[in-house]
Amino acid sequence: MRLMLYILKSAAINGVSTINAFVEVDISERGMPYFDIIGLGNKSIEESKLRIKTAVQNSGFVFPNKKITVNLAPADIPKQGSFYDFPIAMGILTYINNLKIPDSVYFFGELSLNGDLKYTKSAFIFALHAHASGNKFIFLPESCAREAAFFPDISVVPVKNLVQAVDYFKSGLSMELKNANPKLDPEPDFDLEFTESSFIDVYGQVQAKRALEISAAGGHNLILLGAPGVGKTMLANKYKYLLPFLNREDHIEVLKIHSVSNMVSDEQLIYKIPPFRSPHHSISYAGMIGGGANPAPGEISLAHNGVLFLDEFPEFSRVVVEMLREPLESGYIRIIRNRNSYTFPARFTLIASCNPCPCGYYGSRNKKCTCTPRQIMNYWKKISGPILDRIDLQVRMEAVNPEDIKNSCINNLSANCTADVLAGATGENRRSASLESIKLRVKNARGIQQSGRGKLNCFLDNTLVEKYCKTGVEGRRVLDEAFIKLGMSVRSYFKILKISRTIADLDNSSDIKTDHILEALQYRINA
Amino acid sequence: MFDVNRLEVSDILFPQSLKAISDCPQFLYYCGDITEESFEKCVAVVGTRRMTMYGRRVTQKIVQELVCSGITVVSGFMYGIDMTAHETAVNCEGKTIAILPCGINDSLVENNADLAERILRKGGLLISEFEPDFPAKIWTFHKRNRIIAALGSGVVITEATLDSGSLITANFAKKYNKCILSVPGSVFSECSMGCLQLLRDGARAVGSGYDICKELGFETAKDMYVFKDSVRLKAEDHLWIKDSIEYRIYQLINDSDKSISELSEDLDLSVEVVSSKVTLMLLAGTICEENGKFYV
Repeated sequence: MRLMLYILKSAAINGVSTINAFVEVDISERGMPYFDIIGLGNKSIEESKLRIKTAVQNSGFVFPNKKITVNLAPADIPKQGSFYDFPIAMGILTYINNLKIPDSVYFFGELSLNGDLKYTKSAFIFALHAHASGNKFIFLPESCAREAAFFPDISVVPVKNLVQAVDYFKSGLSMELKNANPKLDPEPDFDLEFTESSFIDVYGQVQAKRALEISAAGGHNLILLGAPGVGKTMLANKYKYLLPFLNREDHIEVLKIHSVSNMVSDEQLIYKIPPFRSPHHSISYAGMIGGGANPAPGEISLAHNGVLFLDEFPEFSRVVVEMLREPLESGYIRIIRNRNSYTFPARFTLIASCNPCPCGYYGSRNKKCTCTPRQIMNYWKKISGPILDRIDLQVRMEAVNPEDIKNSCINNLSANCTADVLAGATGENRRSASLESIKLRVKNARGIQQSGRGKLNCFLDNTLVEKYCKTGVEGRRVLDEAFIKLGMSVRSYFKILKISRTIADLDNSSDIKTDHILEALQYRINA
Repeated sequence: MFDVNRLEVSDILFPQSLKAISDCPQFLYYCGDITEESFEKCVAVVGTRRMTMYGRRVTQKIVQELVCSGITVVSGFMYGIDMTAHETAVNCEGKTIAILPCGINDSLVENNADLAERILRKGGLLISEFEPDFPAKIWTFHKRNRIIAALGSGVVITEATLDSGSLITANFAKKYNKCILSVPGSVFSECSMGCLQLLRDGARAVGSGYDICKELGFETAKDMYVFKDSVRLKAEDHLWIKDSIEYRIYQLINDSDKSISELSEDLDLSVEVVSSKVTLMLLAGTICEENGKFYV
């Protein structure tokens, strides 16, 4: 009697981690013909029976009229995702065609009723699992191939449909698979298509640009405050270009999280640009921190190792904003659902923007504010103290007079240096404002922090601040004076020290000089 | 909670200037020490709630000059120009009288208890014609304005829109034959339209405390002084400009208020340099900051 139990290797995805799983297909001669899948599968796995049966038949095979039991082991871990279609089908096809499938092969993908394989999300994390567990081959849909091919040590076999897959094994799995990897530029190290102009679309606002630089260098959270149209959103959108590229480890972590929630784009695979997420303010709390019956990562996790930009910060629901507190401190979020706890990484830099009042023009020079003090007070109440406390850098932006832009353009047009004018940068300013030099300084400053302290300055706790942020006598005096005169809290005292440390790092200075502290004192809003 | 006293119209301490008007209140509630001199040499300084930086600077300058000349500043204890007037007077260690649109123990006062206490500590007064717990209503503001107009020898309007309540005060002043003094402002500024209207109607144009004293026949102080950390200083000694950059920053913001970005661009200096200089000047008290803009 033929052996009629086929065991295929697979993985179960649990949050953003994977565990070994097996697809066991048993085809029994005894008993009434039936086809069932056990092993805590969700609805999409339940439905896969019909997809598989139809796909196998439509591919020209005769579906065995036997008792078929499929078990997804381990049986106590809930499983989800449509990618089990392919391995289950292959188990059955192995029986039909009497194939021999080597041990080191993974199958991954969702079936169409005509037997074709369709794009299935999570291919990246699946490939990562194969890579980590030392397996050689992954058979998966063509459209998923590039994601899986990120790891050069596994052979990725893109498959169109079931017939093609069966043919592979009929002809005997051979050397030809070795070179089956789709082309993915291995270590592209070129910049994205951005030029100087992309940072300098925003006229003037040199203080805000400097704040972005400090934020990028030390990972400090930043809030931009200003009337509508001063360029808050535009500047924040440029932020990701200031950050250094991700290293491979961080890049894999980012792709892992993105792969379980979305399709991973080619750009994400090739460019190591930190993620930039800007959810709309109508977002629910589950959307923000992650959740759902089978928890998926939220925006804060998708922004892991990158930037979370919250435009119109006070418009976000209070619950959503308060949820940010713990991840901002700890760098991860733990969600408990269905007797299971999921930990999603969430270490991001928060960039928030907001207006100074509901109408947007409080303190503005050009337009009269129409809000009452009570309205303004209520508006600010929405941003709670604890959250504002966790935002190190706070910058106000003033609208640039349109006449100024026009005049300086006209004056300089003849000299053919419009670009400089738009940069708001001439002479001294221009030197320090060029994107290249900022990027370089940020990179250096991050290097100093990682090698000297092992973490970015924004993550220094109070004892570490005491250790690394020593000031001179004069600096201490200035700080003490500012503490009293500017009405600072103890927490903001430490914030100033951390920012001073980053400014000193940008300056390539091992000591915090008085000037660094004096500058740091300008990045606070006394609201 | 403040200690509230009641003053009958028949009382000897009841302000004579108030008795003179036809709709004089029959009694006043007050807080602070009333003496016979309390209501001598009073000038009302009022204006819009939605002041601009210009309005604030003008009010600060004028009140400072009035206080240095020993004049008591009367105003309405409402945010905007009124609060600025009280605030500046108290900061210059001067006397100021707040005429409330509500009872003395109403939430309006409670919310600004700090200022109210400082007014009292410097020998000023809180006055209301309403019972201590009476809340502010639209009509109470209107009624309060007549007391402000009556108490001052003249009414100075530093900044007002066309619909500003301070024009009501000016109307009362006109009715009581008081001198109306108005500070001119930009013709492009909505907040100066009320003042322009007053000037058209024959108010006297004033630009400083001296002008006001001259118009009202008060003596002016010989030297101006300011208070820094409760130490009285001559106004000209108050500026500590350390170097040429600070001097250039000072000149620029003396002209009009500026943000760090604007200073950095105008001076063609890096943000780092400008920021640290500005912090130094801020700590030295040479300049002030509001809403991210610096002014003198």
